[in-house]
Amino acid sequence: MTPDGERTMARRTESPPASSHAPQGFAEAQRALLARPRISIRLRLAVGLLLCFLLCAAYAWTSCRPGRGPAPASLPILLLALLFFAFVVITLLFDRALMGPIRRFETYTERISRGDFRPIGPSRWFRDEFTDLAVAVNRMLEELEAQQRHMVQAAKMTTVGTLTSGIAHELNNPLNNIAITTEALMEDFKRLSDAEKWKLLQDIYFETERAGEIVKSLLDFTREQRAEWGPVDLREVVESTRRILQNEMALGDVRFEASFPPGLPPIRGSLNPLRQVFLNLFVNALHAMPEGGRLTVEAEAFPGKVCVEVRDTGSGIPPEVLPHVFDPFFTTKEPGKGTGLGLSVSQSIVRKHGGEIQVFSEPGKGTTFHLCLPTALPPPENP
Amino acid sequence: MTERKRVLVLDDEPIVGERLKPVLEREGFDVEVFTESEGALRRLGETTFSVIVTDLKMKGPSGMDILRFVKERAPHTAVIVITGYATIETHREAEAHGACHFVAKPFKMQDLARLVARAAK
Repeated sequence: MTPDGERTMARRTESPPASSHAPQGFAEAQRALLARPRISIRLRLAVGLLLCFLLCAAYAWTSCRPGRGPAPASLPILLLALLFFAFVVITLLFDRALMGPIRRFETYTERISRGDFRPIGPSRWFRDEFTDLAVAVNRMLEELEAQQRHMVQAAKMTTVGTLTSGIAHELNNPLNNIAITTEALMEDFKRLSDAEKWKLLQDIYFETERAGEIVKSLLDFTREQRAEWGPVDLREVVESTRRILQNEMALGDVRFEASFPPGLPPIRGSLNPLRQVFLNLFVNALHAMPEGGRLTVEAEAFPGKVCVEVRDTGSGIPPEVLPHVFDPFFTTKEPGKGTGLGLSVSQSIVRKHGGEIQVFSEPGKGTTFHLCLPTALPPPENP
Repeated sequence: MTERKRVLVLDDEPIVGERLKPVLEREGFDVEVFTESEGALRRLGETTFSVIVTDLKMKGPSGMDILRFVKERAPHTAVIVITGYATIETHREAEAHGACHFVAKPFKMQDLARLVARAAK
C-alpha cells in the first residue's frame, strides 16, 4: 500500500463513528439537513439583544418608581444605558466575526465543489477558530487532490493502455528498417560504394531516431508529473496529442484538421492534464469512426477565454445516453475498451482549469465537444 | 532460357522495398516495388505475379484486401504477408484468406528471400 493510502486509512479510523441515525446517501442527508426549521445565528443574537433590552427597561422602570416593588439597587440609569450599549456593540462584533468567515467558507465550498482544489490562504492578520477550520479544510483538499491525481493517472494509463499495443507494433516498422538495412550493409559490405554505404547508414540513423520518437511520445504521456501551472499554448497541446495518435488516424482513415487563429492567447493551465483531455476526446472520436472520417479541431479566442471545438463525423451519441457521458464509470464501450473514466476525468481537469466542457451530438452525423478555458491573462485571482 | 519469375513487393515503408529489391533480384526475380496499395492493386489488375510480398496495415486498401483480390484473380499466386502488427487474429485471418506465409517484422532478409524462392517453385 502506498504511504498515502496508509495515511488515509489511519485518519479514517481516527474519525468519530457516524451516528447511528445518520442518513445514507447525499441527497437524503441534504434533505434531512434542509428539513430542520431555520433559526439563524443572527436571529438568536437579535432575540438575546431584545431580552437584554427588556431586562434593562424593566430594571429602569422599577428603579424610576420607588416605593413600588422591592428596594431598587443604586445603579444609575446612565450606567445601565452604557451597559446596554456595550452589549449591543459586543453583539454586532460577534455577528461580524461569525458571519463574514461563514460566508467566506460558503464561497470556498462552492469553489471546491467545482473541482478547484486551490488551498485557502489567510485573509486576516490574526488567526482564530476559523483559521483552524481553514487548516482542516486545506488538509482535506490535499487528500482530495492526491486521490484525484491517482484517479486521473489511472484513467490516463488505461487510455494509453489501449494505445500501447498499437504503439508497440508501430515500433516494429523502424526496427525492421534498421534490421534489414544493417543486414544489407553486412551482406554487401565489400560490394557497396562509399556513397551507398553512407546512404544505408543514414537510413539506420533516421530510423533509430524515429523509433526513439515513438517511445518518447508514449513516455511523455504516461509519466506522472507534478502539474506545473503556467501559460499553455493550446496549439502545442493539440499537436502533441495528434502525434501520439498519428498512426491510429492514418490506419483508421481519419482525416485530421486543426485550425488555430493567429495570435491565439495562451491559456492558464498545466500541459499534461490538458493533453489528457484532448487524448480522451480524440480517442473517443476515433472509436466513433471505425470506417474513417474527419476529426476537426477549431479554436477561437474570446475576451478572457479560448474556446475549442472538437468535432467528429462518427456515429454520434443517442439522446438518452448524452446526459450521462460525463458520469464516472459510464461507458458504452465493450469490456476492456474503456473504463468510463475518460470524459469524467476530462471534465474534472477542465473544471480545475476554471473552464467548462459541453457535448452536442446528432446520431449518425457526429459529436462535438465544446470546451472553454480561461486565458493566462489576467493572472488567477487569489482566494 | 526460362522467363524470370516476377515478384511484387508492397509496403508503405519505402526502405523495405528498397532493401528487398536487390536481394530478390540477385535470387533471379524480376521485382516491382510499390509503397501504395492503390498503385499495387492497379498493377495486379493488369498482370499476374508469381509471388506477392505485402504489408498488412496501410493507408487505403489493406494487405488483407490485396490478398483477397489476388486470390480471386490468380489463385496460384503465392502471397507472403509481412507485418509489424502480428497478432494471432491477423495471422489466422491471413491464412484463412490463403496467404502462404505470415512473417512478423522485424524479419531477416535472407529468411524472407528463402521463403519467396520456395513459394515461387
